Amino acid sequence: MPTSRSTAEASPDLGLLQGTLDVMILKALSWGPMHGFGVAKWIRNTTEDVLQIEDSALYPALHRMEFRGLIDSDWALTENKRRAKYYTLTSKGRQQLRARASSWDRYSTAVSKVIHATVQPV
Amino acid sequence: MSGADTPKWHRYLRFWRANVAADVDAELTFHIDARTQELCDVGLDAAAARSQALREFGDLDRARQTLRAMDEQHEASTRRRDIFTDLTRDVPVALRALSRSPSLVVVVVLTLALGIGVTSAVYSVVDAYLFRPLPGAHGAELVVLGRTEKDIPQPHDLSYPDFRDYRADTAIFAALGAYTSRVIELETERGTEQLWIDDATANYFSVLGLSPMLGRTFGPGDDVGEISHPSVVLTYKAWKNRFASDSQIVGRAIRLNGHPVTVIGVMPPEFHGVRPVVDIDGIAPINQVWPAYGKALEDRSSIAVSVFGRLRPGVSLATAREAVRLRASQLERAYPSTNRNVGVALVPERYARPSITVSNLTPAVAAVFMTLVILVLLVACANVTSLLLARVVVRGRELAIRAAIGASQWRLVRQVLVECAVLAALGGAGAVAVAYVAVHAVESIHVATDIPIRWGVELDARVVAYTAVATLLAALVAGVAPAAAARKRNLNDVLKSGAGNTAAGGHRRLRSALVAGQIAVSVVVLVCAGLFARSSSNATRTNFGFRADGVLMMSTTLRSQTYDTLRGQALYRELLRRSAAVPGVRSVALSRYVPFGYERAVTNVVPISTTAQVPESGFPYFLNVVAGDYFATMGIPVLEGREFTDRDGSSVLGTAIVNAAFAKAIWPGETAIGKRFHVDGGTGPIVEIVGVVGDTQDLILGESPKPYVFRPMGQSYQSQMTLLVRTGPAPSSVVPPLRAVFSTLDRSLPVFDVRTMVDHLRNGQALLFTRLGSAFATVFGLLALVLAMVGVYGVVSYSVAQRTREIGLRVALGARLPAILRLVVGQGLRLAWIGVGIGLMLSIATTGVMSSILYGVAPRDPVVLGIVVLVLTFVAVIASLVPARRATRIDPLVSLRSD
Repeated sequence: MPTSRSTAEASPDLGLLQGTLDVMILKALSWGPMHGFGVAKWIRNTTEDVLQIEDSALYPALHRMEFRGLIDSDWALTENKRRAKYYTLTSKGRQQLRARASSWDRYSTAVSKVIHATVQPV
Repeated sequence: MSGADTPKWHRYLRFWRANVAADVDAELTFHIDARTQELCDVGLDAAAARSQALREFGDLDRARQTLRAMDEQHEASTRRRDIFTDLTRDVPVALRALSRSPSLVVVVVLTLALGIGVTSAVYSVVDAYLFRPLPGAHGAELVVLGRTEKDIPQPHDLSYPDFRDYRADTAIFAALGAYTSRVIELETERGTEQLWIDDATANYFSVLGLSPMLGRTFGPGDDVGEISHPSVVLTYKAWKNRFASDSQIVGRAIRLNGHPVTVIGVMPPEFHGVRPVVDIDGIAPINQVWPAYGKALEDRSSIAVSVFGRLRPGVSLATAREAVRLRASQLERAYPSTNRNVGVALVPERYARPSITVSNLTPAVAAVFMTLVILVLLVACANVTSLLLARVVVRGRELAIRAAIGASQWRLVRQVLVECAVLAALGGAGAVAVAYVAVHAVESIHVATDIPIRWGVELDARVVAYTAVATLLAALVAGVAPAAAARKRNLNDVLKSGAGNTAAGGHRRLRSALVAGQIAVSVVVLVCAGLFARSSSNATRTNFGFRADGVLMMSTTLRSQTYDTLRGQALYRELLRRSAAVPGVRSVALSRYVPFGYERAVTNVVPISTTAQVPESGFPYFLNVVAGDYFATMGIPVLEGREFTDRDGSSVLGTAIVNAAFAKAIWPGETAIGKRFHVDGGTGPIVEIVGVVGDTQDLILGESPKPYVFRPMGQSYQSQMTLLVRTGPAPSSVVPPLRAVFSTLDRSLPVFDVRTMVDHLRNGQALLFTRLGSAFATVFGLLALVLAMVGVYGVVSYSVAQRTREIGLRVALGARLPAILRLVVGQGLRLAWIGVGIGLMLSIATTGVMSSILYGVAPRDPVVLGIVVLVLTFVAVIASLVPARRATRIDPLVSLRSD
């Protein structure tokens, strides 16, 4: 899994695991093209505000992922006729999402198993 | 990451040189605005909504800066990668495209290689002789002084006393030196060898600002007193070839003309002497190894030394000229017997190559050659342009299809430009090879002369840089028109019509104009070449006033310690007697000066009993001292009176023979026989004219006859003489017996300058440079001719390819072969004649500037112009015949069905 070179991404107060934000962005865009505000809003609503992600951390992640070819961007008009930058998932991004999602599942299952363990250590 | 993953909007950014910062701002502003709007919608007032949106966002400024930095860095690296990607894609594509037409590649690369290569080589020759300053700290600032006379406009050497007086003008000259190149005998274990030594003032090297590689150069005063400091400084080449690069040579004594002379230094390799054309072996201080020369140092009438020096910093050429002119008129007043009507010329050293005598011509010669270089280069470029243009047109379909499937115009133009660059690079590489070969060919030219002619031509960095610039220019010039043609292609037209026969009329016209223009320039180059060639052949066949063929020359000099006047004259008389007895010798003579030699003398003639206006100091006329059957041997006709005989010995009344120009100048309309005049000014001895002989050429080819005085050796002994021998058809065959005569008279006699008069003229001052000029111009002419041929061939064969259908149709409709041939060849001829017409007009308008450097031929010589027209017409026909033959083989069935 590539590591990030951007400093803005690793805001420690988020308490987010490395790369978690990327997965969430990929997932958000898997529904279709979205601008940055849309991504932020979707994550906020979906996590029901449990994860307090500062918007300022979102954009560097978006740009970095674009440079890496995971997402693509283009300027387009919103429903309110405002110019906004829309991000789209590329096929490479879609692959990345699948890989990350499955490894996240295994990871969280493993952690969950540990936390809810009922067997005492021998 | 591959190029395909690069976001599209970045391309637009790049295209418009986009503003990364503005995009980041717009994106963030949108976010804040959208969130504010959302909060307003749930009931917050505008101000509160905005501040909450900002709070939620976090550190806006920091995010903005981070994003800008990220995007700019990414932008820059993308741009770099794109350029590289484009190149790695374009070059193989270009190579593949070119490999499909190998004959075109060969023609274009050869054209460029020849055009650029030959011009580079000629540039390096012209550069070596005319432009490159002499070595040394002051090499570029040198000037030379020359003596001018009322009747002799070409400047020549100065007398030593005059040189001393000019040198005294320290307000004008920072330094002024003088030298004479002379032959001297070096005695080694292997026998005797001849060295060329510059007999020079001690400041020779300080004038140049040159330091030795080994040892030292002369100190002040090294040239004072006879044989007080017998020393010599060797050139690098002499040190290497004659002394096997002996590192211990400094301080050693060598024997020159029988005297021990100390080698005090060796010069670095870049130094070859003060004349860029001559390769001397060493420099010795005046009066130190050549004592017999000493008398000339006090003789104001002896034209003895070449003078060079540099002006004081801040003194302009004009100021210096005015100062030396004043000094010359002072000398005229102070020494009327020798300096009457004597002026002085001061010219920058580089305009006085190879000698100050031609300083009036050198700038014109240089200008003509550099113009030829540029013209030939232009022709080569025009040729390549026209060939590539044809290619673009022929490839119209391919380009159109590529445009149709989405290649941008810029992409197609770039493709064409890259192809041109690839061709230019190949051509440039070929050019360096051609120049290398050409330069070595020039170096191998053997000039049969005792003067060590130097071909100091090297393919140095300047020439390579010149080649590179020329190649770059060629690529640009040759690439622009085809690229523009590629850009203008109209997709629809090309795809609708058949392969090839679209040939947008504009392109065809442009190509024809290019070829016609190229032929016009070729005409100019050929006319120049023809004029040079005629000039040279005229010069060779010129009437010198004497018969050059069948004459052999051998020079010697008698040392003053061994031979006083009486003994010297006795030896020379014996030399004449014994030489005449050698089988094969018809007549013999001795002469102090030879025509077109490097030395001459002037005497002031004061005639007695003449109606002519005689200046107080008399007329400065050329003087020669002769013995034996001089006029018979030289083939100079005796018009009146007689030759010298033995009776013209040391009688009380001296005798003289004058030439027709002399007689006509002073006693026009009456006989000069029996008339008398003073030599050496009004107080000099009186002589009586016993003969009048024909005029001869002596200094510059084509000069008007100069008055000349001949004195018999019996009345005017000279230590140095040249033996002249008239023989049968092979003068060289008598060299060994004559050498034997010299050595039986005195084993130590130096014999030098052994050559036939014909060689002396061909390879000496008289003709060598005319011949070389003509050779170079001929190379240019041939090159222009080859290029013209390629140009016509290109246009005509392209047009045949374009008109295949039309020709097929004509054949199908019954056109005969001759008609087809006429059609095709006619096109080539029309093109050639348009070019020839323009070229003739250009030549007539411009070659006038060459009149000063031509000999015996007018700049608008009808013979040359006529031959050029014929040759170009012939070449155009030949160049059209090949494609014409192809046209006659067109099968109407195939050609009509081909689309």
